[in-house]
Amino acid sequence: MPIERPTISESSLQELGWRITVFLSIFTGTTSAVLILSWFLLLPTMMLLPLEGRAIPSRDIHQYVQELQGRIHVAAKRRDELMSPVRDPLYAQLRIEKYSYLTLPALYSEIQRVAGIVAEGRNDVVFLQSLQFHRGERTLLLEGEVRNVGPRSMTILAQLVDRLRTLSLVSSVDLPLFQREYDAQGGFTSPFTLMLHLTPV
Amino acid sequence: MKQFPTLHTRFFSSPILPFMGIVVFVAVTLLLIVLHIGVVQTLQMEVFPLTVGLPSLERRARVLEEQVELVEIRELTELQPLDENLHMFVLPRGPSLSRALASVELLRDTLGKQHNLFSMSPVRVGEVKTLPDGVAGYPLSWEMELTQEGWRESIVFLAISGLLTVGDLFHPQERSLLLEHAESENPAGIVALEMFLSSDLLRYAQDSRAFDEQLQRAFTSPVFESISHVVGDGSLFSEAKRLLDGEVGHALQGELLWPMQFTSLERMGITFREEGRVRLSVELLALSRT
Repeated sequence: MPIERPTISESSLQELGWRITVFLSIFTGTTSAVLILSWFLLLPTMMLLPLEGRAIPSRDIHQYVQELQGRIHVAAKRRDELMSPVRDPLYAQLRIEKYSYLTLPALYSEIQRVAGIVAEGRNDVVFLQSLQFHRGERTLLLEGEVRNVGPRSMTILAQLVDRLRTLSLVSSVDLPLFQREYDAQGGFTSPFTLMLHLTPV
Repeated sequence: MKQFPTLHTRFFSSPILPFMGIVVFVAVTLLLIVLHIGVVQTLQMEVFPLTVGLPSLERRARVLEEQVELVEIRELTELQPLDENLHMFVLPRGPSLSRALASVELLRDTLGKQHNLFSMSPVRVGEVKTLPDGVAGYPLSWEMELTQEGWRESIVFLAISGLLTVGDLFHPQERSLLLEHAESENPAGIVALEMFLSSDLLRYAQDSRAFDEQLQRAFTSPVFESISHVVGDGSLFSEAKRLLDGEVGHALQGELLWPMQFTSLERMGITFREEGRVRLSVELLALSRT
């Protein structure tokens, strides 16, 4: 006797499809609802930053940082003003201009120090003959000579220029003429004239 | 009786409606996922890096504002006669020469007594110059032959002429350094620092112990044991303190020449001669208000 196989009718396929799509639509609908709730309720709460006793939305953090920086700038400026009891604006302006030569003693000490370094501790190598300070142009003209190092006098001079350029009180140094001459004793000497441009206050 | 399915029931019983729902819900879900990812990225790339530095910014703002408040309160309780000194002696009204010349004379006399001065030319006085911002200046110039010590003292003397307080000695960067140290170690100590910086320069130089002790009570770290330690030994602070605590300072006080008239050094020439001698040429302006 032949076995009768069951057949799937068209209407049962349709019903199966309907059930699957209903299930999927419920699933995706629930997912959307959860994400909508997250967007409107959960995220705003999580994105609140607790700062100085209050909470701000994280999107406002740039503005908050700018506000803080503004407060710091204003308070630092006010504090600086308060450190000077004399608030006369003319006096304050003139005092600032004095700083351009208030540092002359320190600068001279620094020049001597670097001269000692390039001379490797000897005090008979770099001779400073004169200094000419001009406040308006903010320059210091240095005249002197390098001697007692044989043919290395120009090398020592070049090292001196390099060292002077590293001083914080000096913004730049004009290159001198590098020359080597014979001195009275028959040794080599390199006279120099260096123009130092001083760092603006 | 057989019922025939209507269009209405055929629509709702077919999978079309739920399929449309799936499409809409999937689109909404994808959109919201993308938005959530955007928010997380913003948090990671922008917000979190900013929040790392926020506590120190907030603390700094709070500390600075408290410091300002403390100093403002102290100012209300103290009388400051410095403005009076400024208008009468440092920058007097109308072209004035006498105090500046008296100071130069005092410098010459003191250097002479110390045997730091070999010779000095007469002081040449030019015609008064009118400068911007309501300032006038008498040009003064002279030459001196000095010892090494003498010329250093002369430069410091000219540099501090017209300055009133300890704080005036400090370059803005040096002052910022002091304030930074105070802020990090003991913000409330700003009052002691302000009192130190606003103290009269000559008075401080001649009796610095009381001021220094007050400062050391407020700031116990080794950094503040010596202000020179903070700003460096070569600073004008150290040199001026040494000068004003010596004969020059006592002479200024005795001759009632403190505070000195404000002078502006225009040019200075220093020539190193044999046997340690230094030839100093000075051109300056003795300033006053017009």
